[in-house]
Amino acid sequence: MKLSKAQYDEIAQFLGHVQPTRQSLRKLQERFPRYLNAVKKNAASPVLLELANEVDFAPSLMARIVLERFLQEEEGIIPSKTLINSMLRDPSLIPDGVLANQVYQCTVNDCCYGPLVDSIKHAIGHEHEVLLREMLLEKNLSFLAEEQLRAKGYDKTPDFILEVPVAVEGHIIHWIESKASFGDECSHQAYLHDQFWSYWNRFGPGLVIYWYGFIEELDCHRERGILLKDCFPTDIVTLRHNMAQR
Amino acid sequence: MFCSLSLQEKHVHDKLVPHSLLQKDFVPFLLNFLREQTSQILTNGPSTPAKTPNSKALRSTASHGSQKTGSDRRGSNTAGSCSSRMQLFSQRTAASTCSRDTSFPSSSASSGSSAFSESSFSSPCSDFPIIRQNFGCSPVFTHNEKRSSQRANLGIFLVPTPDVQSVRRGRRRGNSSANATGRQVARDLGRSLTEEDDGKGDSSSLSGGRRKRTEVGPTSANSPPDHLNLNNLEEFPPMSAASGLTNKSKPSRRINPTPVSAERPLSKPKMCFTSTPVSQSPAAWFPSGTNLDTFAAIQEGNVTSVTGSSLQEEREMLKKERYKLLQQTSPGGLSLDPNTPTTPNYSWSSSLATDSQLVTCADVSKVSCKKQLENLAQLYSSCIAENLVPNIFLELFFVLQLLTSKGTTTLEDGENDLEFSQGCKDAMERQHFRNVHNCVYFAVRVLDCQFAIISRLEKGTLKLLAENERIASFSPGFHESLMKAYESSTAKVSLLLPSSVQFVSFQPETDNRSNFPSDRAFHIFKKQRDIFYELLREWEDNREKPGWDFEIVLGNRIRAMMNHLTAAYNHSHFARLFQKQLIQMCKGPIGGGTSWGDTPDQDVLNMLGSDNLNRLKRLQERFVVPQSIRGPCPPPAFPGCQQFFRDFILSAGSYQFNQHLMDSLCLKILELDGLTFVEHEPSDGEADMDEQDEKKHFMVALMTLRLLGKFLGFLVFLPYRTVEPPSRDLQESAVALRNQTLPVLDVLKLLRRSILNRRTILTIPWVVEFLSLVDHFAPFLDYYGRVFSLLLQLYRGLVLSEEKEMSFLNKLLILAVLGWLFQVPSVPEELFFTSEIRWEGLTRDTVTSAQALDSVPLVDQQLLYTCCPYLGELRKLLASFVAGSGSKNGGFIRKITPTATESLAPKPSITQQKLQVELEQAFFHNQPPSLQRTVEFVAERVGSNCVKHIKATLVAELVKRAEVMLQDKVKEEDANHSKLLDEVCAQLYEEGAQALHKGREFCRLKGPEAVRVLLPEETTAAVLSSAEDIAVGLATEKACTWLSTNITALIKREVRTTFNRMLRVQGPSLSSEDAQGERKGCPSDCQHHAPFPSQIINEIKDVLCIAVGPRDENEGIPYVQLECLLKRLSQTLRCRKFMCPTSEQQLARCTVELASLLVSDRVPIQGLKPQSQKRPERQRGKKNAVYGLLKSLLSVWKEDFWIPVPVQLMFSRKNVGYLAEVEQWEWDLFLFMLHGLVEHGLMENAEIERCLHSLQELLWPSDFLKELEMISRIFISEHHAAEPRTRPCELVRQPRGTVAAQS
Repeated sequence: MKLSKAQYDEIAQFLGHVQPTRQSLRKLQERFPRYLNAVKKNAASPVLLELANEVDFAPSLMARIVLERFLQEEEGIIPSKTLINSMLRDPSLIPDGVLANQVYQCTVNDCCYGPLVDSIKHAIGHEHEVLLREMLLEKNLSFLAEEQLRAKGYDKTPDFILEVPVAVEGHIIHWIESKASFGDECSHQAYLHDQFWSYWNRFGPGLVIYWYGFIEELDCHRERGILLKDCFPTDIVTLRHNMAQR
Repeated sequence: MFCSLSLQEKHVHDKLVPHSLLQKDFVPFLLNFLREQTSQILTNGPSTPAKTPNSKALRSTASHGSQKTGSDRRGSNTAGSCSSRMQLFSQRTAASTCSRDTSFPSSSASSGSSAFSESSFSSPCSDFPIIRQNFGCSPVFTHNEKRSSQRANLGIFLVPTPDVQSVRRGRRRGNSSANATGRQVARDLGRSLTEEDDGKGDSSSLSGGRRKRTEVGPTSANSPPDHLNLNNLEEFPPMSAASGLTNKSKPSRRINPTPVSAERPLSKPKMCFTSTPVSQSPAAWFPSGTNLDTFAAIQEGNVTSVTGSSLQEEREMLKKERYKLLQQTSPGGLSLDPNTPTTPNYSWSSSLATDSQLVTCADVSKVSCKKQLENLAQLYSSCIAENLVPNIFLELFFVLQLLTSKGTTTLEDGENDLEFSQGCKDAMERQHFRNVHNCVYFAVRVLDCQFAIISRLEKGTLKLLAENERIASFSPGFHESLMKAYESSTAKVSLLLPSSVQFVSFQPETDNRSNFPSDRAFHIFKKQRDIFYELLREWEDNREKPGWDFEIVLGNRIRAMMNHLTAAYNHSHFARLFQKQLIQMCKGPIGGGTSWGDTPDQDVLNMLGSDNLNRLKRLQERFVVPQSIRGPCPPPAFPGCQQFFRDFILSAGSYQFNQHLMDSLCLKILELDGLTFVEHEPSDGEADMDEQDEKKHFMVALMTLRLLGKFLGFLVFLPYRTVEPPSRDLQESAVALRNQTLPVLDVLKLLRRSILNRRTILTIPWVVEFLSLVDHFAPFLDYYGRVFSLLLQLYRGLVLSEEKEMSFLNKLLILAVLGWLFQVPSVPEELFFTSEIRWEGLTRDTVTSAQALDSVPLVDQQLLYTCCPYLGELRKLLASFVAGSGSKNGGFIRKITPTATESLAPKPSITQQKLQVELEQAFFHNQPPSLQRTVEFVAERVGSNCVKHIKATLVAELVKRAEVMLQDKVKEEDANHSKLLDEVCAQLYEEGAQALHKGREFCRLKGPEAVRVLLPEETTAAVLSSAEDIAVGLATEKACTWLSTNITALIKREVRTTFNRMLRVQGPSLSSEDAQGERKGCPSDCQHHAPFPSQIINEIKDVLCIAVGPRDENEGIPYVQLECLLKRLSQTLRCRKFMCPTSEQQLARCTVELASLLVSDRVPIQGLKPQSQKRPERQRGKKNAVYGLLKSLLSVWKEDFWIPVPVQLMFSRKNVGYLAEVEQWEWDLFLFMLHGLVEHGLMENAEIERCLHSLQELLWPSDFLKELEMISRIFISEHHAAEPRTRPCELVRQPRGTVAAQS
């Protein structure tokens, strides 16, 4: 699935009312007392979740903020990120039972963020990597996978480095990165900066597969060596070594 | 005379020895003389007939001026009456101060100034008022003391005798009469010249022509000679104007001097490479019978030189002015900008336009004073041939300018009589080059003499020369040789060779953590690498945009990065990356000008086959390669991508980085300079093949060395570089200081060694690049002085000829780069003509070792033009002439024949080939370099062995058969042997074709073996097989190419040898087996069709969502769905293919949560089978259903999970809380769970007890706490009773009743 930027924008506009903005954050801070009051009345009611919905904020982020605040007041120190994360992952660790329930409700209900969603994303990513690996094996393309590369001491590693480069649609690629997400402008820019260019800087041109599609216009670095696809490419030319017959 | 200079000829006539000092002045004088003489014809246009001042007036002024002092002279100069315009090659001797110089300076100086005005001040005078005011006088006083002697020399050299046939003889004669130097002699000579010409009636004399011109020209009346406006382009158009150069052209530095010397008269004369040391005693010049007059002149000159120093103040002012100007012209303010002070593009197109209509048709019959021209041409050619001129190609450029000069037609004819009547002209004054015919004649003569060089120019230039009408009409013989040379030339040159790989690959051996002192350093470098490329990409994207400034945009970011570098001591790593990237991007011919952004659309390129691709490349070249004529001596520049690296260094301004970079560059240079190229066996038949490889390797090494040399030079001299040349006052102290330090790289030692080892062809080009970036004082340092004089000595010694010691083109390349070096602005002119050359004994290794490169013909035209792109100026000049002056277009026209699109039809196979080549390059790039070296080595050796093998087997066999056949036939008829031979061979050729097949077979067999043995054991199968295949492919290609072209010749040769011997004798007779091979995780029959973990997590999440709430009234989960979900969960967990630790952990956690919710009856299950109306039954049904679900969960936990399931979470406060929140507590489900856990071995009894115990310590509602206690007690008692294990649900039912009763 490839979307043009215009198409995507339309969808984004349609969907995009959930804006985790600074304003909603402020709103949230103001309302924190309300949580306590409401919870006192009925511990089982989904106070935190509703609060999140009210301020257009992702529930799990809301839970995180409230949890942070809670711990801060409880213990008088700013809690560490690791602690917060582990509590979000396992609300049983939260000392306050009511809050634990509230937090769990938030994280379970959140479709975009939170530990559960993260692990789903991770799982999807991994599954696609496995699929890609299958396809590479099927095509008889030999590669070095991330683990092997790390073992060799590479500082940045794409999912797969092709030991013998191939040409996809006429472009030579040295590596393949699998992305089990939709490549929108924002995430693609971040990926470019944090990953793709770094790969280029070390291994040369490569291919990124956005399994869930991407905005067509983002595929503008082909000449420079970053190729985007939304599926495993079919037009692959391998080094054939039939030069004697040429 | 000349011979004494050249190293080759050591026998100097005794009589000549004393004149050895004289000779050194001769060449510069000759060159100046030619420039002066021709400047008229090169600048004259019909619209400006009166640009030369009236000779009479001039002469009278001059003769009066002989008595004047320097200051008087200045006055007159400023007035312009004397119009001592600058000389082309500015004179060391000031014309005005020589009392005896009456007539000469007038013509020479005036013409010189036109060149002056062109070079950098061809703009309207109003722009540079101060310059205009002053320039007239300053050159005059620059080197006033040597003028007279110089003149005397010409007098000597131009002795015309009727029987002068050979230049040498003429020269000797001149020398023998040298004691009669000076004006008198010259005048006599002039007379004799005129007399000689008498008979032909074509003598041309200066004044006559001049007078005539002044009469004819309409403007002459308006511009009296003493109000010369030297900045007027109409009057003094740039020299190259008439030669067809357009206003875009950038004239060469020496031919069209900048007014530099005018403004720094005390210091080195910028224009003048002719100076002799002032300290030289005049007596030493003329040891015997010296003419007193001359002495007087010299002494006068010395006196005035003192006076000249009083001008110091004025000069300083001029200097300042000049720098202002320079700043204006070079916006960057950096003297190294690619476009350093150029000629402002003011147009003289108006005059040119008229010019072009009147391009003189050069006519050989109208040539006057042929003999003198002939002599001059010979003389001049000898100077060129014996490397006495500082830059051969500059002279050739000049000659081509003459060849393509456009004179006026109006003045050409019918002026001879007048001139003739003028009678007493001296040789100096005679205008031999007054008309186009003479110029062309001279040019053609000189070119003819330089045929050896010319015939080796690239094909395009040859074509233009061969097609030149003037050459054809002036010298048919020469024309014919040119045609032949053109036809046989294979020297096609392409300047665009984009490389496809543009990044530096990460190599674990040098780049991984173990190469860094700390984690921090490693991570900082990781970031730095990315920042560096980010900068590079940004530069690529924006550099062309107007207003984008490197320093402003990138400067701070670079410095910030450098600071990190310093903090982490990562300089050496970064320097290596920087250098590698530099080589990667810039080793191409035009500085890697084809960047990513510039490359044409890949799709378009792919559509073209490689043939068409080449055509397109050439077409692109025409657009990309700069068109304007910049002259054959452009200043050093950093074209293309090199600019980035230079600017980076400048912006970074980091001492540490520079030092590390220098170290790194030095190391690489030393490594490459000492490189051994494949030794060759010239006797062998297959030498061809190796030679080609050798050439390629050599070219790569040479280009890389040059690049590194340039950057090393840039860095080494960077601290001393000044925007403006410092005054010479500072020189002494600066030199004294700097003499104390050691050079960063001992180029002198390297040079000497390379001379000894005969590897100058590799060393000199990069040394030249290195030295081209010297600051203004460096050449005066003892050390670099020695380097320069060694280079000069080499230059002089490298007389171009065919010989064994060094191939012609090798020499030509060395001469071209050295010549260019001598013209670099910061290299002082006097260097070339200095008398202080410390001649070193140049010993060369007589034994030709494998190291010796000079004798190997390594240089071809491609390399020559790649190293010296300025040689292309010759071609441009000729092309502009063909294009018919081209002034209207503002540039010369290149004809581009459009190709029809049909012919560009896609040829997939060729596209594929191209892709294959690129793939191959890409493959090697990320592998350690040794892999490629190995593969190439194997390919080369196997290819070579293949040929040998074929020779030894197939050919030998064929020869044997031929022997038999021949033996029979020879007996039959002993007639025509050669015919017999041909016949037999013809029969064998067909079988010879097998050679290709056998060759292929051989390579296929041997290649992989060798690769396998040579590559490390650990090489993975895929890499190994690719490497093998490439090696086989290359070897096969090599062998087959050679075999297919040579096999017949080889057979014939072998057969013939055998035959001859026979007659004599007779007369007297992978596959990838990665870890994936066996999936240890999955069951053997697994099809991997199980749902993805992510999907299951997602579904469980949905269930949890609904269970946790909030949810609608009637929202629920069908029981079947839950059942199915757990079944699929089991499947998913069994197929391990897509499972990863995170997924599994999450699944475990989720299912525990789900179990907790089930146990506390929080999951709204729908669609239970017996939809009984009665509540207890419904309750039971539901409970049974939940039991079922819990059972499957327990079994999944036990059987299918690989990791321990965190079942303890069931006892967490949160999850037990679910139970507490329910109004009617469901303890039997909980108990069921507890038993199940124990039963499935998921938890120990004791552990559960502990959990239950700790639960009781938490804060609960009191009644719940009671229940909890009860449950623990029941569980513990049951457990300790250790009843026979019946079905858990039955077990549970009992206690549950109790609990209910108690509550």
